[in-house]
Amino acid sequence: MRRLWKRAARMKIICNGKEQEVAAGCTLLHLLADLQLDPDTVVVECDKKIISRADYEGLVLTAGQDLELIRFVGGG
Amino acid sequence: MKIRVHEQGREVGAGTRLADIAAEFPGSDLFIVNGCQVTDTYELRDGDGCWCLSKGQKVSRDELHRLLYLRHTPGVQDVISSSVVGVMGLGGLGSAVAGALARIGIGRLILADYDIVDPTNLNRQHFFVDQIGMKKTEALAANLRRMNPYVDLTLHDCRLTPGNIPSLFAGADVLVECFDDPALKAAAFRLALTDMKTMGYVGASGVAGFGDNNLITTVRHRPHVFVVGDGESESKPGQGLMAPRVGIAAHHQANQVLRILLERAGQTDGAL
Repeated sequence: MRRLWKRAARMKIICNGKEQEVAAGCTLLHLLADLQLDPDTVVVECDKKIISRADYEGLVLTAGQDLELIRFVGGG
Repeated sequence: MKIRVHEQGREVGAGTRLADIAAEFPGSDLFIVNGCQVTDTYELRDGDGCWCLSKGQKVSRDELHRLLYLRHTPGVQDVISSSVVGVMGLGGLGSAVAGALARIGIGRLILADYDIVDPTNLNRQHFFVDQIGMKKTEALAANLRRMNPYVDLTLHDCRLTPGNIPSLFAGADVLVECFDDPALKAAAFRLALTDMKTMGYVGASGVAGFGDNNLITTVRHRPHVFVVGDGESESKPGQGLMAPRVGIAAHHQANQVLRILLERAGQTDGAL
């Protein structure tokens, strides 16, 4: 049967220890938006490296990357 | 047998009771032996260190210091008294953390906040009604000096940013993050993992409301970097910040500061 549409390519990353599927070419900022997280409140470690907030938009995720997201909520 | 009375060694006969020593200190009604409060019927043993105080009596710097030595043991108090701790944000968390550390005789506190005391703070923050309108740095300093007049205080009445935190808190052994703003919490935590790698760090996230006590935990992210809280309970309409739960988290933070300091000094059993 002919496919009328092609699904966007997906890839697997590790997010906080769990496997997660994201769109290929997805940036870190896209991922945080998908997870409904305010990027300013999340510290990200990607393959053991702490990512600067300024790099969230430009960081294109690649298959197999190991992300650790540490989210902060307000109040003190 | 040998005992110490107010840290002065002396010989006493077997069977000596604390009341026999207390007779030398008219009006004394508060008795401490080896860091623990006892009654004057206590029978002294070889090696005991005792203090006979009057509950209403003021203490000098030396006396307070020696009492802390007795309460906390000399090895532990030496570490506390020679340590510097920075507190970022003097709200519900920061004012309580600073109080706990001042009471145990921390050497120096570096305290920073840009705000003034307002009436909505008083449900959880360690200020008083008559301090409304005062700078938080100055109001807290006044309160800490009443708890322990001998703690060195350095005050920064300014907004903290990732740019000024490393220089304002240079020299601190441990930095405690007590901010309200989650973006600032995240930025400071990032600094702790990148630019301030040797400094101990205790952050907080998820301290609002009146949820389960035991969901407040202390999570280790690096050997010297910790975050306290339940990770979820943000301050928002319908889930405000309240003294009891914020206090639980603040004292997790203060105790973790102490554990970092003592671990670094080799004063623990390594079970951190």
